[in-house]
Amino acid sequence: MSAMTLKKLAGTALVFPILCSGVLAQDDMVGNTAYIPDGYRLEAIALPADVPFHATGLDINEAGAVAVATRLGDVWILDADAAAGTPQPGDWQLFAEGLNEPTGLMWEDDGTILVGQKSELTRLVDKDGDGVADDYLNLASDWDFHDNYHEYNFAPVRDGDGNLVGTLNLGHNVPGGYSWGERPVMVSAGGHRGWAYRITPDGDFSFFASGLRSPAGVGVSPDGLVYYTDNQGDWVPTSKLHILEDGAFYGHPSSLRDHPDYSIPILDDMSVEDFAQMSETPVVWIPHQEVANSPGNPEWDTTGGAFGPFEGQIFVGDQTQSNVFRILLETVNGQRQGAVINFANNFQSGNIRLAFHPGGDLWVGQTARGWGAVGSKPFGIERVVWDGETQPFELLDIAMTADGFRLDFTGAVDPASLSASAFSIQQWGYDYSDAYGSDKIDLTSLETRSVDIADDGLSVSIGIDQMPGTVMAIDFSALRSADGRKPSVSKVYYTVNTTM
Amino acid sequence: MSNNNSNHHAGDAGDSNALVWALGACALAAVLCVGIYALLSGFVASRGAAPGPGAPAGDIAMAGLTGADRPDPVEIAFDEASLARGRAIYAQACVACHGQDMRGGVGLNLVDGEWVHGSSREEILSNIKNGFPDLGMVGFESLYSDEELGDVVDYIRSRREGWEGGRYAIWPIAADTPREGFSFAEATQGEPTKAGRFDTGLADYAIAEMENFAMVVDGIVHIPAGAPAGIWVQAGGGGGVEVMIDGNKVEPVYDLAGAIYPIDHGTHELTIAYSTAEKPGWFSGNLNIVVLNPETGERAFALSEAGKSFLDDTSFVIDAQQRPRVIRRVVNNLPSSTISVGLPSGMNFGFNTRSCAIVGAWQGDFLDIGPNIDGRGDAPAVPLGEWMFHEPEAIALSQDGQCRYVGTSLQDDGSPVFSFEIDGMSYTVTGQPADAGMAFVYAAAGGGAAGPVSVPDIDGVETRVEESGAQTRVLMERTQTP
Repeated sequence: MSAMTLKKLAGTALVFPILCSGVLAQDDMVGNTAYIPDGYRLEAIALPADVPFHATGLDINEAGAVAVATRLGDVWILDADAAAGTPQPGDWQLFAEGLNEPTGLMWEDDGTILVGQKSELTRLVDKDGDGVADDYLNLASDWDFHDNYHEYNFAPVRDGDGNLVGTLNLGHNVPGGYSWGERPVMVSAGGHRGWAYRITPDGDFSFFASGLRSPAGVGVSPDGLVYYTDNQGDWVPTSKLHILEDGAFYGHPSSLRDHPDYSIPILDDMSVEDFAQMSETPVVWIPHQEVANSPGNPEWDTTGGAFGPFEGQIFVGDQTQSNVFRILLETVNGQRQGAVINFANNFQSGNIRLAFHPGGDLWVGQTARGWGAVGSKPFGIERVVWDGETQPFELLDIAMTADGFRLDFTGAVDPASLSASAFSIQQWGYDYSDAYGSDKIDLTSLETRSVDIADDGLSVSIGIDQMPGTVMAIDFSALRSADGRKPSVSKVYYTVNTTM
Repeated sequence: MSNNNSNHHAGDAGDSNALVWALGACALAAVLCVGIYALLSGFVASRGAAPGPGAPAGDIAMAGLTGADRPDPVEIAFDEASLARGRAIYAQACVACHGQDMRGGVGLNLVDGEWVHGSSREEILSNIKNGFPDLGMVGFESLYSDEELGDVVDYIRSRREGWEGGRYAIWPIAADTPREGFSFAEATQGEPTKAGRFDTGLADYAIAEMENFAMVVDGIVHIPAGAPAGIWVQAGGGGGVEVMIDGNKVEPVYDLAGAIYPIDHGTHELTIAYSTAEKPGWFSGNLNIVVLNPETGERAFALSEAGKSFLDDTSFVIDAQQRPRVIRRVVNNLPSSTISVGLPSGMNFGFNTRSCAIVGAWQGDFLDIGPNIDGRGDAPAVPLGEWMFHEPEAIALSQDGQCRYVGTSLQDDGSPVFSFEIDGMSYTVTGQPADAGMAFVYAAAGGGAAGPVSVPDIDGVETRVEESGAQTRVLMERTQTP
């Protein structure tokens, strides 16, 4: 930008100095350039005309048929042929309607569809095979719904043992709602708000974990564990990913009013430190704004390479940022931890649900009603498509080593772009409290001690001091591929729970 | 449940208070102006760009508003004669589908800045010429010359209204922040809690998700020509509202509705800063911002979500005249976990899945779920027509014991059968039209009898209960019009 341009901008439009900058015109709101790996593109899916299609439940069966639950309360189905090609508005078939703001949906192998309504987990059955559900069966409704807009039921998924699992959002401004402390945001009016529930294959229902806030995304890993994301806010310093385990507490005290060992007077006498001691450590922290504000469900790429080089990794959409990011996990000292890294942005609306199509495309269900999104459309469905040929140049994976990290790339790195100063590294922690989100605590810059590149150029090892309880952001924007390309995303955020 | 089915109550109750509070805010204008100026100067500095002439080195990090890209404002030089020709053709050819106000009908909204099929003059012209036969829009190429259609495009583009490239940033403030001496410069120091864009959408103050906050929105705003315009802000006072248009602080004029900030037609840079400091107890913190004609009070269009709810009645009526409708929503006067049913006969009722009771019945149109699907959906849906009864009145089987709702089966005609269990016994209940009212039929499975029911005693309604075999039938008829 020329000095003349700057002067003109500053002089004539004090309020909007950056608007007209060509350089910044593609930035998102934290200054990241628009990003998507080489060879990938976004495609908007045509939807039924004149239908508010806020897609908050999304699943694709093995045959490739797509089912969507909308906030209006419909369930729509796109058959496998249409979903494999270019869907037209008339291809969508209305399967069910009148549901109470569902925020989750799952195909069953028998062709029935499970839907997480606010007040009930429901099985939809098409008895006569005419493509429309006849029976709406009550699978579970053991929690209380207080008619509050925020009391979502994010469900279901089926874990490795065959249990159905869902998570229950706390409420906001609910009469009789409880929250610890003087600055309530998310509250529970009782009835197991802020809990996770489970239904065994035998039909036994139980609430098995507490401390959830806005647990908007539940997913099951290929090894059968249930993971969930929670949204930044009170008691959640930044958005995060956890493994949901029996009896565990995930940090938001409002839910504990329904715990048999606690009561409101007991809770009122407890301290932030007490709750901190009880709380589970996230598998990864998801830095606010830079990666996500309101993450949805974790979705594993099990397409066997049909979506490109990221097989086995977790993809998550963000409702606020209208982006998709990846989560790269490993096990260190028997503990799961790992990193988050942005994948693609500039989606048309807020990304809340992801599902992989067996053909390899990543489908994205979207809504921006009530909660704004960077993408300006109120709702929609898009899919991320890989062209099947172009090898992107991106960070493939990151692994902790005894003295730092090993960064794996999808293509060979140009050794000439490497030096200790090629890496800019920051480290920080988060402050757990009833405040709405946390600043970065003890933000420090670190020096890289050493840099080594593997013979094949695909891996770069860096020597760096690590401290448990921090997030380490590694900026490698100076790196180039052997064929001269720059990665579309060049900052990875590793959550150091433990060191080797 | 409360009877609050409207977004208007706070405003209705508080108009006079709004005036008082807005006037109070006005007295602080001088202080606020300095704060805003510093704040906006900080906006420049925080990007690392050199401060412009007259801009002091800012110490306020407007990080949340920075970096959100925004297109250049669309400046269009319009020729009055061309616009008049375009207006005439529009009135002939376009108005039926796109509406007199261009806000859409069968056709799309043409003034909201959303161009589904391309936004450039050339793209719009091409689309008008070729039409969208699949979507029901014919091409006009054979009917008008390129020059005439160009006039129509210019006329449409001159009517553009609302935000372009809108952004917001939110900072928490203490609950006890005093109104006196409130400073946006101080309140907006540090990273905002939330920030982002709403582009061509609406500023949404509910997004703050907290009771006490300062929020700044900015963007380009398009004001169509044709009538005097002002930006009406119903803010409920508090730490105040500060409005800047094209970089200049604007003093409002006041009427009973609140503060109105005059604005010329055309394209402007608009910033609205707001804080909840010492807001009155009735005020939600959700600002109505609407562009209106200050001379006539006629409302033109909204700049905030609450303003839109105020303008629209957000109606979304579920019509049961053609087929039965079964809807699970939060509904006025019906308890939580109720399934509402509308039948083509004009009979409507609610079945509660917790009590397994009929918890309300009404005659006439079915349900407006608009309030429950607008914004975050924090208002209940509204039953239309006339109540016969509603909670706490109810019709229920007299059996003791906890009921368990099993599910709903839709019959071939779409009408629902509700199944439930009490003490291991299975029952169903359906609603059916009857000559002068409605009937509810309970049936027991497995050879039992549904047995007695409790029914409400309602003025002007005759209720008969008939037990026969497995079935118990409750017939309700009006004996006088409500």
